Amino acid sequence: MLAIWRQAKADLLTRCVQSVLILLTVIGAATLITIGLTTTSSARRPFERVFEAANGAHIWITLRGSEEDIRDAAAKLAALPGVEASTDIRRITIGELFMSGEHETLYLEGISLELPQVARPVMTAGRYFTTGDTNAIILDKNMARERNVSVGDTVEFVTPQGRKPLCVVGLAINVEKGVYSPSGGRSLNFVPESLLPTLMQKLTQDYGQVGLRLYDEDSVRTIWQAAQVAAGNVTYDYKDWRDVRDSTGNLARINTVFLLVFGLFAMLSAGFIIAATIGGTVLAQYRAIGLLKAIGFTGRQITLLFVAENMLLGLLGGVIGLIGGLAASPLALQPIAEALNAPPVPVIDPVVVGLVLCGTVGLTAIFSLWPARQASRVPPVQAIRFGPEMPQVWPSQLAQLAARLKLSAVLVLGLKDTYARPGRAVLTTLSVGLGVLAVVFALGLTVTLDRFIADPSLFGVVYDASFRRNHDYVSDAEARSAMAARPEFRAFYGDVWNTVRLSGTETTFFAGFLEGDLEAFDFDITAGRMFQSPNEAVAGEGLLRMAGKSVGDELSVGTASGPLVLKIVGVTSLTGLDNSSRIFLASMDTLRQLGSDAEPLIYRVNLREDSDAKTFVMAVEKDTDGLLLGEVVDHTPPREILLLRPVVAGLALALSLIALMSVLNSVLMGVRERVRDLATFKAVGLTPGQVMSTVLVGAVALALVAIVVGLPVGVVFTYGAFVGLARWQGFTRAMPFVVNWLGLALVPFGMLLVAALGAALPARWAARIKVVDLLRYE
Amino acid sequence: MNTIIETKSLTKTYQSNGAVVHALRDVDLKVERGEFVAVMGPSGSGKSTLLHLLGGLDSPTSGKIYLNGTRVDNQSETQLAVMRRKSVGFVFQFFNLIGNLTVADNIELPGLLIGRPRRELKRNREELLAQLGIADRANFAPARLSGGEQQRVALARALINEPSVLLVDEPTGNLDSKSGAEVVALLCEFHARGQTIVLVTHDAKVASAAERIVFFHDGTVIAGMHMGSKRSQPDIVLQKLVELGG
Ligand SMILES: Nc1ncnc2c1ncn2[C@@H]1O[C@H](COP(=O)(O)OP(=O)(O)OP(=O)(O)O)[C@@H](O)[C@H]1O
Ligand SMILES: [Mg+2]
Repeated sequence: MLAIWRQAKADLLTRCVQSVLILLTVIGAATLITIGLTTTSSARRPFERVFEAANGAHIWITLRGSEEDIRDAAAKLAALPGVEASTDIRRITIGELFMSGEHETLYLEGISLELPQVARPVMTAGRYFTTGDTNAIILDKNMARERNVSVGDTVEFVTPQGRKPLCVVGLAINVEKGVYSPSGGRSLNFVPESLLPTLMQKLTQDYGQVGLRLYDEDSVRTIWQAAQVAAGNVTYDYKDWRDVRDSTGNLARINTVFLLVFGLFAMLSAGFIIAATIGGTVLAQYRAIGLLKAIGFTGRQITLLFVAENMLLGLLGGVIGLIGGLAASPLALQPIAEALNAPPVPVIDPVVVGLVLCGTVGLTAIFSLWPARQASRVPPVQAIRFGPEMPQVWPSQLAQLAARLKLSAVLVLGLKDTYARPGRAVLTTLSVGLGVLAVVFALGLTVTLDRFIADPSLFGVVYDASFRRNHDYVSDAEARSAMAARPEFRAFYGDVWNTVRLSGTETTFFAGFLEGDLEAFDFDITAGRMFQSPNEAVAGEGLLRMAGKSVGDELSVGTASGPLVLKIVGVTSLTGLDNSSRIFLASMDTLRQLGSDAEPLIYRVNLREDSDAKTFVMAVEKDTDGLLLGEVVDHTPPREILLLRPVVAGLALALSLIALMSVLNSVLMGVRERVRDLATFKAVGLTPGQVMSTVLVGAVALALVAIVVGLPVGVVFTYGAFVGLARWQGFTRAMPFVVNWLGLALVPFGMLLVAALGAALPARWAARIKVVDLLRYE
Repeated sequence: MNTIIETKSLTKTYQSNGAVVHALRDVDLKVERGEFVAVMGPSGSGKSTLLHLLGGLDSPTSGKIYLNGTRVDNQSETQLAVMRRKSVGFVFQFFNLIGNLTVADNIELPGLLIGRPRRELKRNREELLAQLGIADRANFAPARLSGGEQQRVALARALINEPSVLLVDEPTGNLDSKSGAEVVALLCEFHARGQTIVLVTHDAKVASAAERIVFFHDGTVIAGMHMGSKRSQPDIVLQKLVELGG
């Protein structure tokens, strides 16, 4: 055993350059995987901390009904077995808040003046409410930073009675809703509960919610079932704390997946390099191996020798990569940590450490096993006397081949050399192929994101701006003429949302009734078609599931104005106010037929090309004396998706570098093994330039094969990844797969360059071989 | 007569580990067309160095080398390589055949380099292999040939382009005496057809095949002699010189 260890050490040192190359690739792969795994395992940590600090509720149950119904139900819920503690009834309203001249739609939650025991806001600045706080507000910390509001500032909430000034007394984080983002999740802010009724919209008056802290944090579903039994149909909906936690983790999740996938690619590449290298070592040390066997090493020990050597490299690379990855992961954790005001310290998870080390050691072992087995089969006597068997000599003639390939003899020599070791050629090709794949993917992602940014309707957003009308102040006609008066205006539709009841049940849900220039909007209908006449509807998946219906079926519902029978003609991807997708959309005429005087409360506007939505919204607000408040639809893709671009570009670069190393390694071995042949070439009359070409042409040939194979595979992989990504991110319509033809056309050149760069150094050595020095000795 | 090779004050010094080694000092040598010259001398006397300089595999520290009247000592490596293809054939002690090329490909390689037509090259190669007695080995891998056969292939490769001069370094050093004798006999045969040959050896028997022997010692020519008809006499002189040097 000691002998094996000594031999292994000596081997590693003699193959210094190669050992370093392998080590570097393993380190790279291990770093990527470590960052990926650590972010995954640590992503929940900041949330868990805040959740503890807030003494967060594990389940939030939305109740709907009269005051008494809600109070009654809340008491029942608090008494359920398994419930440790519960919040008071909290009411939430949605509305517009003016902050430093701009306004934003957000949630306001009424909360007791005394800091609650369960689900309290976690203060990051200022103070909590005190008695006497009548016009105070605690703002979401992330929104306040985005909007440049600080403690002491005054903000104004739009109420039916006009704008109500509120004083910001503190900033806080909450764990009830996901993290605020300017382009996505709305912020949750707190006001004293006595203040809320004066700020409330009609729509949200008959709702309240109760947060329950459970003994068993994973018993959410059981509790929800018990709640439904206890409080009947006053229980409307529930929210699981784990969903909120995971949605915070999402900030880092997509990147994590890519880190992991590309880390595995890098690991594979490292494996290919290892296998090729050991193959080369076995050849170079053929005699020595024979000798080892002659002095009593068994075949198994020889195998062990080579495997152990590389496992050592794997372990070393794994440890360094692990440290590097842990050091780098705060970077990946930064967004989550910042949003939750927690330090981005990665947790050193023993599972991650184990996975990374086992991964690197295991992979190096697996990839070294096959060539090491070959070493173990070296016949000792022959090896000592004759050295390794010569590679297969092609039966075809050099001259004929050159003529057939229309290449000079020099280039054919290079090709023959490269494919003289087919195993190594294949392994190198695979490494380069992975590089090609990564680059193709990065290109695909970049153009696709550009497409999304240019055409946000792909994200399911079909309008440029929206207005919320308060019917006490602005009439429908006024709103329409104010919008249409602007030169930027192109088309609008208006909608009003009503609660409807599924006939024969007590179950209620939301329905949107639309009118306006619907043809001008590109609604996302995932199946069937958009409704075209009254009594037709498109339904959300959630409603279809709940009602057990599908496209073509009829749906009976009860509305405030009377019963309705609708024909479901399509499926919409909209999810509605409560994100449950228990909704349907129908024409407003459907309501009017029942004698309702429904009018739109929300207007969605499409603008002419090249017009500025912000200018438009501000102008309309001004023309209506600030009574019709608008919102510009943020068309930039979510931050986490934009972040993908640099991440994936970096990963593609990393894999290209590994491809380069792989080429460098295999060409280096080739040159070393064939140094006498190369010297002989020179003696026979090959110029240094020609010697260089024979070496380069081999690398280029490998790269060409890798490109021919890697490009289509890369395109297919990218397509598959996009489909998966789209599904995961909840885009119901297929992510448009944009092909960057120019980019794809450049990939071959880029990869050839990579291969040439990798081969350049050994090729130069080859060109500089001193014939005289080599011919003096055998 | 016309001179194929001429060196003037050819000097080569090596710098190894700080010590200066004078491998060649002021060597003046002339080889005429069709001549068969053997270079003899003890180990380390500079024989191989001379051959390498003549073939342009290395460049001299000072002095001049003319090949076919053209000065070659100041040419670039590339120019020398191009010169070698046409004008110089090398045969080394360790055959130096390309392992993954067949015998036929090994032999044709220099011909392909100067762009000779395939058919002519093939005919030429077949003739050579026949003359060397290994016609049936054309499609063999070099590793499957015996040492003597390999050296014959090397010879064929050196001769394929009908070079002005054939430079041979210890061709028999790695062969048993029978194979060695066969290779020497072949050299004589080619010389008889007009091939200029410079042969390096420290084997007196091998050297005696030449018309003229040049004796090297410590990097300089210490004697030269033309081989007459009386064969016994030079053998004695030779033996003496070798003893003196070795
Ligand atoms: N590249 C080199 N670096 C340093 N010294 C060298 C080099 N090549 C040759 N020499 C030295 O130059 C001298 C002449 O060497 P050379 O090989 O020409 O001798 P030789 O006569 O061919 O000997 P042998 O009969 O052993 O082949 C020797 O002392 C040798 O050690
Ligand atoms: Mg020598």
